[in-house]
Amino acid sequence: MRVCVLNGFDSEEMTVAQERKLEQELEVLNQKGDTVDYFKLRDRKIAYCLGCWDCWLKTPGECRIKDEQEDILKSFVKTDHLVFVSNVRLGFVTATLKKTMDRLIPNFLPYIRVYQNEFHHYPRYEKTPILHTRLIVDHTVERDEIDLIEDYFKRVALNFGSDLKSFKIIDGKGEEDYEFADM
Amino acid sequence: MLICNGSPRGEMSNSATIAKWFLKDQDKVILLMKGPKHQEYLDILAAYDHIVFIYPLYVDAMPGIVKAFFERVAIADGLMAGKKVSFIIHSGFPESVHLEVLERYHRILSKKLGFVLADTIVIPGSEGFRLMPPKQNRKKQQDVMKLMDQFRIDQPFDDHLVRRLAGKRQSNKMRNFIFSLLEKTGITNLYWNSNLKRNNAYNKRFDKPYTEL
Ligand SMILES: Cc1cc2nc3c(=O)[nH]c(=O)nc-3n(C[C@H](O)[C@H](O)[C@H](O)COP(=O)(O)O)c2cc1C
Repeated sequence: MRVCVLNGFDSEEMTVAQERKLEQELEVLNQKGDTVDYFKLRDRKIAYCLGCWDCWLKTPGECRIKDEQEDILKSFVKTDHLVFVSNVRLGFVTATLKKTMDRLIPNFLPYIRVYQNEFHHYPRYEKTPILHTRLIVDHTVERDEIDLIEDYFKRVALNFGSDLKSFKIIDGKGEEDYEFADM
Repeated sequence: MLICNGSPRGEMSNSATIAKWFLKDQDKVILLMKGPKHQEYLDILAAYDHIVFIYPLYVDAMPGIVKAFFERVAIADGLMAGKKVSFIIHSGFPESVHLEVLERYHRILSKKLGFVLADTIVIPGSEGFRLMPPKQNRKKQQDVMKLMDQFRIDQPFDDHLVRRLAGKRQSNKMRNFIFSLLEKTGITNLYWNSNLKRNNAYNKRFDKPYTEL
């Protein structure tokens, strides 16, 4: 099994213990023999999408910005599971994660299909990863924010022609239910 | 009134086209795609009491650079408190269902930043706006202008206009059926294919550069 983890946690100081817990969990997967591509996005040089659509219309499948997003695009097409990790920043996922999500579109085609009664793009590759979210929260985060983010990832799953298989909260209280074991 | 254009395409964007529909001489436009200017923009924001954000839907929400700007604004504690803020969001797909989560997010954002939310205007199917002759969108243009006139004088939005701009929430079976028929003829891909051909990239349109050999 292959797992790609996009960790969009954006702070060095805040709730570091939760991030460490996540990394320990990934270590367990590694030891089980699964391949984990772990991307700590805040340490990577990744530019914002320019909206140029070269990746659809000039160099199909390839982004014109050559930076540390490229490894993520490569991992995306191979992985069985794609895990989005973020803390809740201003009621939504971090800009650090959103920036990387915007730049996943080279892996889709410009062509549009009707999928589950809505318009969506065709995927470029045969393999579609199953989606998961791990949301790092603290006491300031309210229920409506978490609900919104869950609904958001359900939309993303539709957009990617995939499923949101798990959405779990890492709240730092110790005994959370966020093991990757049931992937 | 201050207009914050959140499109990564800046002046060449559909967002810029929409802004021109209601722009007045005394209004100011800032381009959020200019990341290094975000700090400077905070001072500009402080000077206005009516602010409109216009941005496209990117992977089901705001573009990353727009979220980064919101995060920057949040650090300047209280900067947005009491200001009147409206949003115009638009998408490539023609159904408004794609924009609902983002619309909900603006309510959360208004609580977090303390601004007075004057509703979100939703305009699906915007991709061609910047290429269309102005008269093709005259009706939309007039609706947006009326709504923005209401916003300028703190009148509630005319719900009828907001709903007309948002159009259908979802496609229906009949439209989907017609779409699949048209898809077979290639008509639905015309825009993409003519661009691909112009760029000499048509033969590479299904390329999979990241497939392992
Ligand atoms: C990276 C990227 C992601 C996009 N994601 C979506 C999407 O999820 N749903 C949608 O309807 N349109 C999506 N679009 C289409 C844009 O919303 C649409 O083209 C819009 O008209 C662009 O406006 P602008 O010129 O002001 O940037 C996306 C475009 C880009 C470049």
